[in-house]
Amino acid sequence: MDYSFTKDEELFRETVKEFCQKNIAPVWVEIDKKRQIPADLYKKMGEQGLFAIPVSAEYGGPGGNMVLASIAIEEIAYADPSVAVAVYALLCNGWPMLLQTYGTEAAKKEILPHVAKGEGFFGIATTESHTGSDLASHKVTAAKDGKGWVLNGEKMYISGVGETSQLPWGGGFWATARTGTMQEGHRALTAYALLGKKDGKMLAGYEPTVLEEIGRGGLTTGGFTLKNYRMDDKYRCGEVNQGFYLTMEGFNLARTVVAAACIGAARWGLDQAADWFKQRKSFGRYISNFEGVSFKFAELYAKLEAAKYFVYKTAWLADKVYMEKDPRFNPRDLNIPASMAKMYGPEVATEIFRETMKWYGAYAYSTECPLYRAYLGCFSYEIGAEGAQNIMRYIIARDVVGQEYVRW
Amino acid sequence: MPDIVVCIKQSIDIEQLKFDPSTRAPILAGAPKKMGEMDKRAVEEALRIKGRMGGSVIALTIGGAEVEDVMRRAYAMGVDEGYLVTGPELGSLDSSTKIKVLTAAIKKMPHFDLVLCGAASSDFFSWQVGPGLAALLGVPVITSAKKLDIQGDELVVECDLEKGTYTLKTKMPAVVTTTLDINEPRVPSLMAVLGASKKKAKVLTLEEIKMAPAKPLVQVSSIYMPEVKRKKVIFDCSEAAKLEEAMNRLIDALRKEEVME
Repeated sequence: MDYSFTKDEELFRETVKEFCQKNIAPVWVEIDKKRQIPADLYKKMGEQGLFAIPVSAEYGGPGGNMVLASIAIEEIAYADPSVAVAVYALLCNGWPMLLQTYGTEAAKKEILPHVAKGEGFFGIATTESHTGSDLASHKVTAAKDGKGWVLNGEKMYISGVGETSQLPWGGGFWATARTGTMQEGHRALTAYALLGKKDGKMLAGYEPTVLEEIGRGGLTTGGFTLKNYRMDDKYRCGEVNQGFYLTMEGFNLARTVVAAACIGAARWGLDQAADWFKQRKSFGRYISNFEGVSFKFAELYAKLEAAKYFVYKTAWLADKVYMEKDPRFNPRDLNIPASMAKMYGPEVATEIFRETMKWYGAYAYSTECPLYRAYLGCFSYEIGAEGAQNIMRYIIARDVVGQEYVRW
Repeated sequence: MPDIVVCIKQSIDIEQLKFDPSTRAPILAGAPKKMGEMDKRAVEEALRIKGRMGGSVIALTIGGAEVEDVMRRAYAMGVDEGYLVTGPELGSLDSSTKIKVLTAAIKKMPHFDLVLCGAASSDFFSWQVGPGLAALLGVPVITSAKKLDIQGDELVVECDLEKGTYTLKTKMPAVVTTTLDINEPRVPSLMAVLGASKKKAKVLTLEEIKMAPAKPLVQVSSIYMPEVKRKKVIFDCSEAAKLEEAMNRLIDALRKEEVME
């Protein structure tokens, strides 16, 4: 057993940290207030190799892996604890990796280089307005149309809708659509690389809307309506009616980097607490002299360390499965680790921010203090972005106890 | 097309350095290390010169096992070649010995026009290596450069010295030491980091450069964090009438402390 990072990983963390502290940390509050990531930041991050990290050079990626992607996302979130920039980056790492694994050659060569350069977005679009977690009840349809497909319906609460429209090349989503009857449930879903805009032009039949969220203000969330949206068969990912299973693999990857974002933000939060302890006095002594404060701090530190282990163990395993094709492992082996990372990371992060805000006292309840911005950003993942927390618990319980004893 | 040698050092990352609160001594064992900040500027300046004029950039470092890490960073930044003088006895050297070893290593190289060094390391700040190298190599030195230009075979260097900024010229070969102001060093991309791991530096032993382990001229007896004693002087300007007098007293006090002239 070797718990150390490789020399490449250590140097990468050092350089990402420098990049993020120089280019992101000074502007993260402004990004959150203005609700916009600066246009030149996408390009700089692309040049730095922070998007599509696990994607090979053949498709324009840096040729890294999931451990490197997790390191990048952790450091980005440390620099922007509202996690807006980190969420953009994590989506543009996890889902491009899945497209690399299951997309057609033509789709990969068309989309992935633009994502890697920061001129195109590629995220996830499964949720519909009536439900997120229950994919079996999703209604967006895809029907055969000659050699291609025609899609109709509406997706909702989708991150990156605004960025897809704003970025110079455009972008889109790993999306699922029904290619059978409702009664067939999750067995009749097919996955597609669905573009909203490409080569700078919005595509016909794709109509986006943007919602205003309470946190992670720099990144847009919204929805889109598909009205006779036509696409070539080259955008289909995997076999017809296999979309649910492939998408679950993608969620395992995305949940790993979601947790990486949460531990990065949470690490920043604990650093704020430690700094505060060195200046804040009550009753003639530093507040960390009170056991009610320092014992809780120690608990949170331990929880954060545990959350880190979940992230990097899962990322390591994902690399064994997808990058090294190690025959000892298969994609299903990621179900429990990725669910533990996603279940634990956001909950630890929000707990750290709640406690730190209490230690800060009244100042933390003013908008002058940025801690609430970080809390609201991480809370999006406790609500359930990238998979509801109780779904994570279901996955763990079903895999451990057995599906016949833990039914959906 | 100048051939440039850049001397770099894996320094203790003083931002992460912790001190023993009882003795005020730094906890050096296991302290994180990285390339010195002025060294990064030296590498960056060499790469910029190469970008403008061609030539080559060789990074040179000495030390224990950790020197491979600093060379990895230099490769990621874009240097053409790396030379390591390494060995367990080179883990902690005083400046005089470092200068001798670096000089011997540079003399093993086929050719150089310019040696660049950070003006001082990020940890021990001796400011001695650049001038010492020039003395032993028998070439001119310009220290604390904040701007560097090459015109023909002449270096034109703007540097901060004592009480002013000077523009100095000298013929190459020469040694120039760089300050933090000379440039903003590049941060290597992931692609560059991954590419760096495929490059292997040339390893030189003390035997190969014909150096015997020298006895240090400086013995470090102790290192500790200076104690900052606050004077807690209060200048009363609670009323508008007292403001001018308070300001004058403040200025006098700052002059007395030699904080301002």
